[in-house]
Amino acid sequence: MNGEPVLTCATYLESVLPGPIRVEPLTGFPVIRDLIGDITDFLEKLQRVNPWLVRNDERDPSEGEYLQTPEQLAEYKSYAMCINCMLCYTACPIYELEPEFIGPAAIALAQRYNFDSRDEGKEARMDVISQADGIWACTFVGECSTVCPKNVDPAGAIQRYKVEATAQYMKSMVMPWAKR
Amino acid sequence: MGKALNPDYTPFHPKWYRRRIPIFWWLRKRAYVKFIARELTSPFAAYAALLLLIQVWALASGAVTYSRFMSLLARGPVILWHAFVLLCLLFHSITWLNLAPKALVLRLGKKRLPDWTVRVAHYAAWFAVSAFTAWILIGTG
Repeated sequence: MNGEPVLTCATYLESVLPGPIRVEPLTGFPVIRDLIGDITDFLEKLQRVNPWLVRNDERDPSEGEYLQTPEQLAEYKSYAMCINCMLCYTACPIYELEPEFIGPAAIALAQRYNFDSRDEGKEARMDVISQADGIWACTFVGECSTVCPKNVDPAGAIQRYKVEATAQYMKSMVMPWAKR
Repeated sequence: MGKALNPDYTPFHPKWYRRRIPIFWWLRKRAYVKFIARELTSPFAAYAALLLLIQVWALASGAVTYSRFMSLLARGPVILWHAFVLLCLLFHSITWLNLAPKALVLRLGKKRLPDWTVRVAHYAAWFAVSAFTAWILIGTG
């Protein structure tokens, strides 16, 4: 709205008065018609990062729930607040310039599960996300975090991923025999 | 890579409209201008590092080489140029150090330390290294 990526459902008209008000479709996505963008690309990328809890061995329901401490919950809770509104993609000039980039929300959601103490799918996600079209395509503009209406901080999620991927790569160079 | 993995991806779909990205897309927002400025000032960081290495090499090469190198640095145009480099370097360093808490999480036991601690730690390290370098170059020069 007026060139700013915002949730129109959460924007009061009085905040953009006296106008004129310019409403545009999501930047970076092909436009099907009027304000309708095609977000198939995002949905495919989201699936690619396995945004669900991955377990190597499922516990029998009779054994009870997978318990978490408040600290363990706090680790991923902020990333779990993502509502897939696509504002981060709209704010990201890299996604607009290089549409093959997996993008901020998909990576932040991957981190949401990586930081979950119940999850065991971190390695599989790293294989997808540490590619050139993953974290390394991000040049840290930071606008994805600025525009996020739920304070998810995708830019922070991507940078933390970069640090971890680099540390893992260095470890594999120094200790090639060590397990990832 | 992504395109090959995603057969449904249609960057140039014949029917759907894709807006053309202008060359000066980064002028659309102040945040984009700041980002581009941060990127464009990175070669100055490399230049400053190279200059420092040459200065250390000159120092190690003896008094004559070092004084010749220092007299070169004392010339008017070189001082002006290095004043500009310093401004670029400060902008680049400060904008990067302010972003450090995004990438680094410090913990004390189970408790996550606030972002400002990461920022302060980086600034402290920067000043410590700068002071040490200045001591080598000024103190021993």
